[in-house]
Amino acid sequence: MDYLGIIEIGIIFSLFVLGMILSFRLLGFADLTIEGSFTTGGAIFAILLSNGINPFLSILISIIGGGVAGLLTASLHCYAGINKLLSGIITLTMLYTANLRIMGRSNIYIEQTSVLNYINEPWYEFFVLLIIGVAIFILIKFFLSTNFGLYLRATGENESFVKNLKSNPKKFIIVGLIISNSLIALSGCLFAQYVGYSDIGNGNGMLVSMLTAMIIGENIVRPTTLNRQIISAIIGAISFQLLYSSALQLGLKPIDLKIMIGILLIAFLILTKYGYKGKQSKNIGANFI
Amino acid sequence: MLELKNIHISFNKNTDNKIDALYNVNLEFHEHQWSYIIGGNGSGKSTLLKIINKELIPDKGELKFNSYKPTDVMFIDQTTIKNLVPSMTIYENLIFALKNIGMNPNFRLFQNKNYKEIVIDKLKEFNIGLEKRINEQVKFLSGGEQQIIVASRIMLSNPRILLMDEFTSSLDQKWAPFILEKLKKFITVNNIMVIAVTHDYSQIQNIGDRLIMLKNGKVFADKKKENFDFTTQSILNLFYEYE
Repeated sequence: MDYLGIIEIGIIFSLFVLGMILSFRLLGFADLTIEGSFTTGGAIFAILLSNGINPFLSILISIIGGGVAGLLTASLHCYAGINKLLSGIITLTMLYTANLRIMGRSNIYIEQTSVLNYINEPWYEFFVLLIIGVAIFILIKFFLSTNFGLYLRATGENESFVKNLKSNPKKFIIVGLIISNSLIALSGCLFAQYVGYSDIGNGNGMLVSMLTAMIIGENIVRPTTLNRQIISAIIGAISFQLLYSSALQLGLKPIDLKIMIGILLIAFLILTKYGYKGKQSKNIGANFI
Repeated sequence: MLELKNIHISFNKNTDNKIDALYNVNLEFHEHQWSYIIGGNGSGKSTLLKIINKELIPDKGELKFNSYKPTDVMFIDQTTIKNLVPSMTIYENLIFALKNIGMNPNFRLFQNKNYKEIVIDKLKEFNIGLEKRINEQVKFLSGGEQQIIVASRIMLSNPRILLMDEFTSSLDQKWAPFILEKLKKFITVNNIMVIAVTHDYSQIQNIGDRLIMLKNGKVFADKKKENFDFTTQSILNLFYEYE
């Protein structure tokens, strides 16, 4: 098995899981936009790079693209009063057209030199992903360790608590979803570079896959503190990728993978629910399941 | 002074089930005064608190804050855990009260020595060892311990107006007087205006300065400690008088 590849993809997916932790777990916002913003990240990066734009600038713009998607979902919920799930579904549907419009077709092959293949050596790709991963994890850890981050977490668990502090919870929902979707767009952008193409279907099934990764991570590293919650993202993403590759290695057909992921998620959700035997969980964050 | 002038509010308007939750309510509240609001279910007690907390807008009438601001108001819900963030630690819950020393949604780190010292000092005042458990999640504390954290939040926030909806309803006879007396001392020293809804008349005698009784959305009695005996029996007699 290609263990280096598993860790590399694990790092890329851990950014997705980290974004998901921010919205699903800490903000208590089951945001379905993420499946679309993953594709948006790759789509913006691929079209900009193929038009000769600097790779770093292309990454930055794709991150902003994800942030805009998050802003739209948050605004639909906060200002139009639309239910959280429905806000995400609306943005996700609109993103399908937006992503096709961005790319101008359903897929783009990335042939140009980008950030991950600047030097054509496996260690280089790993090294760059490691640096990006560590930098993002430190940034998010810092953000959540601030007073603002604490207010954001409070919004997820008890919105009226924040209102009673005479603060507007909408502010934290908006910023949280922007950051969450930006991280997921970055993940999508790195994924497109890693596999060498951006496809309109890149995000299909990612929500359930990454939710599985998140739940696996939370079952391995009980997220009873902020540090453990953040670490659970990387452990979950790598473990998920290891299981995924092992299933393929054991002869599972790629068309059966989605069923396998679904069964895995159901199993882990049941394990999580009944594992506590009626006791309260020590995990931090909102219970969105 | 906080003034409610000719306040009217009704629910289920334009239906057959229209309810006048508050009808022509005129009240003045003063600083350093602990006012208890009593009344049966549906008498308008909680609605009154929600209007002062600006959660509800009256259909008619005026709410005048005068020298106060709406941001001076702190509201305490009757369900203890609703006043806390359950999976956060004692420390994290309490530092939200430290607005006057920079605990606003800014990008300063929330773990700092200054906050920690203040939180520990406050918890020591209750003398039950909670200061040694500041990293425990509040959802695992007992009801009494959780209410001490809420009381500590009130003290650290030092609001100018405090609204409490059945603050002691979840507490037994051991915890309720203990927490209320601590709070009463703090409120007296800091000149805080308290408007509290209660069904537990036994606490009114020791704590209350004023008693307001609501019935069907109207003020039926407004008694001050100087001219009314605040014993449970007198309050019950008052209740029966208006039945």
